[in-house]
Amino acid sequence: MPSRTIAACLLALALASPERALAADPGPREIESVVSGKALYVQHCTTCHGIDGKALIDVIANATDLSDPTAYYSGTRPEQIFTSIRNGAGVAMPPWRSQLRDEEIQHLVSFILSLWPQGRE
Amino acid sequence: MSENDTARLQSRRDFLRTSAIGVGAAAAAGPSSLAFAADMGETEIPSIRLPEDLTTSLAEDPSPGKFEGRGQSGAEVFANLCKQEELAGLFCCPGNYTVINALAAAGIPAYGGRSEGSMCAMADGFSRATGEVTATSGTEGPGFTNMIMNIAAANAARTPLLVLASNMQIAGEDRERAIQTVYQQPTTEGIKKYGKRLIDPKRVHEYGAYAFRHLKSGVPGPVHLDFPAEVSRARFKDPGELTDFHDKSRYRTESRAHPIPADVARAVKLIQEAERPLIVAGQGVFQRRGWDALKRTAEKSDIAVATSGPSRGTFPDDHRLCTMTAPGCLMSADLVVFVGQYCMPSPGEYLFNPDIKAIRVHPVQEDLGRNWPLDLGIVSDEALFLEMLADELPRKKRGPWVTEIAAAKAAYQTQLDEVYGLGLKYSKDTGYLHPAVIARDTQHFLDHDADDRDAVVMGIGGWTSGLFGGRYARANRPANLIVPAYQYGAIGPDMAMMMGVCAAVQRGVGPQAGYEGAPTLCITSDAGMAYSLFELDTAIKYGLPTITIVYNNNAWGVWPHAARSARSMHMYLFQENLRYDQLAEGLGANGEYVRTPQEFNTALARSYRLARDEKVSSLINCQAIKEFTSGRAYPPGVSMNPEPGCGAVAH
Repeated sequence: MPSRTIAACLLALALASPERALAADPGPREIESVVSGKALYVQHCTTCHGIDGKALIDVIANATDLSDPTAYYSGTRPEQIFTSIRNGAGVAMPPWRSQLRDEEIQHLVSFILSLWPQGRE
Repeated sequence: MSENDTARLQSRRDFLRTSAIGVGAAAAAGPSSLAFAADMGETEIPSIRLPEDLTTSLAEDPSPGKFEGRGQSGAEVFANLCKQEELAGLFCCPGNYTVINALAAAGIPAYGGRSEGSMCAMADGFSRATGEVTATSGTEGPGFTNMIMNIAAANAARTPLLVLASNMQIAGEDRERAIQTVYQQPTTEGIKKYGKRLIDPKRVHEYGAYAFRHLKSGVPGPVHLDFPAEVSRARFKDPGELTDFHDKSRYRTESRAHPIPADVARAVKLIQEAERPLIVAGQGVFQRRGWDALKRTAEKSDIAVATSGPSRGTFPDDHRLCTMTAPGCLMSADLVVFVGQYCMPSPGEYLFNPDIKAIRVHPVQEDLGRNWPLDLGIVSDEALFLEMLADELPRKKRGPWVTEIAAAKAAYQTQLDEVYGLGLKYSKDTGYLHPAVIARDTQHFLDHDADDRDAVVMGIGGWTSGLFGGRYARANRPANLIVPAYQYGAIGPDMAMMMGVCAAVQRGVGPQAGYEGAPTLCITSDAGMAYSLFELDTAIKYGLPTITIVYNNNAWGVWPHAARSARSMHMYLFQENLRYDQLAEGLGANGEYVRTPQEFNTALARSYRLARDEKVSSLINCQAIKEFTSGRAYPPGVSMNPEPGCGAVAH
């Protein structure tokens, strides 16, 4: 799928989810952040959390279903998600601070928030 | 090492050396020459030794069935067909007596072991190392059902495995007569390519032909035949009593699908238009022995290559165009050519750009387009396609692509070095061996200290050990590396599977020719090893020099699944500090216990020398702790490896 198409889909998703951390009217920078986050996610996260974030592969240590914020163990606020990625979480989630810059982790947070269901409080 | 330890080891070596020689010459040496005797008070414990009947039996000449005289049994008719088809080996436990005895008597190399499941894994391993058809057999009922996990593993790997089992009398059908009754064919539904319960004695040759047509055509897979007594014991004095009693040249063909020239022209055009083309060479390239054509194709047009499948090394990992250690460049590829990729991933499972164009070459038309949408599908034998492509492709240099691959390799190596450094630190801090150290030091030993790094076939299994080991293990010639967990993900066949590989190496079959005498090496876990440990007896019995490195972390590697669940952890744990090395010694092998990198390297060097020089198997018990699996406590912890690439197990 071309990057432009991904961005359009994500924009549509974001607009339909006013309660999410993404702004109701995301600007180009936010959309760009989600797109960058997706690229990083594909490279670093899919083996545990799956391509759709639902962690249905269920292979590596009961990875969190990222599409369901009620299943999060270490907080759902963007700064909490950021900390979980940066410093690790639970038993199995490793800290990524040595491999990803803070800016990249922020992009990942943007993408993860875009996985939440529409209308979710 | 204390004086007592030294004396014990020397005494043990005496036994092991004699034991190893035994298979070839123990009959002459006699049991009295075996020096390993333990002294427990006033009771003298008899030595572990090889039975004289073993060596006598192995030295006997083949005696295949003949129509003359008493005639051939149904089992002998089948065995002679298997011999003509060059069945490469039989791995079994007693049971299905008439058939296994006939196969052995016909001259097919046969191995008998301790459990049908493990022997099935050995047969699978032999085939993964050679590409040849191998057989496994067990008794009806319990023996057959013991094989199920490993038949399924062979099915996922597309191994041409001939599964044989006896199966009651036809006259006893539906009556639960005697013991061990089971309906076999429904049990293997979904984990075989073809299966048949033979119910008509005169069709035994006909169905043997069915079996080999399936085993040697198209995409391979397990074939399951079950033999009622009326079939295996029937007798035939004339070929006319058998239906379709033809030579193999008449009941199957070696003809293969050639690619249509127009399809090859389209493939050439797509490759020429691409800036960063990549071939994924799957199991079909190995099965069809297309590695020379693959190399010629890649080098002619600077096409990158990744390999996949249960038998690795069809393209050398150290080649400048190989991406197995360069996951960072995969997203840049703009065209992928899947050749012989039997187990097909879906988009997203491979680390490719979603916009990548795709060509797929496959011997069976109906599989083209499954899972992965194609820009071009080509029906062809894998080797024939690669040969034609190599001929048709114009020479082309792709400097930027080659440079990017090299940079990605360097970046990946830096990552591996960093994790190894962490592993050394964790090992020093805790006093226990981290899996990254085991994995890296094993490959380092092969690269720098083994006589020939390519001679030793390695297999990587277990959970934590497998995920770490796969990253560091390298394959530089066909079937140089076996992936026991490939696709099916079974934790358990590893150790036995590598013994089957070892049998293939000792016999120099297929791509193992020229490496006879070399040891094989298996990295596995305490959880996985438990399924096949007793086959050390089998390895020693047949003089198979195997080295097994056990990552002993006192638990199932998946224990983090229990970390957030009440009353669950106990289900994931073993007793701590179990001495698998002592169990190995009890089975007649050399046992090593290590906790530091230095001890590990010393033990590995010693085990290698014992295997190489004296054909003695070793088990190295690497004591670790389960917490090394935790990414939080000991980053990076475990994670699945990017695919396609080193450590891939899914596709």
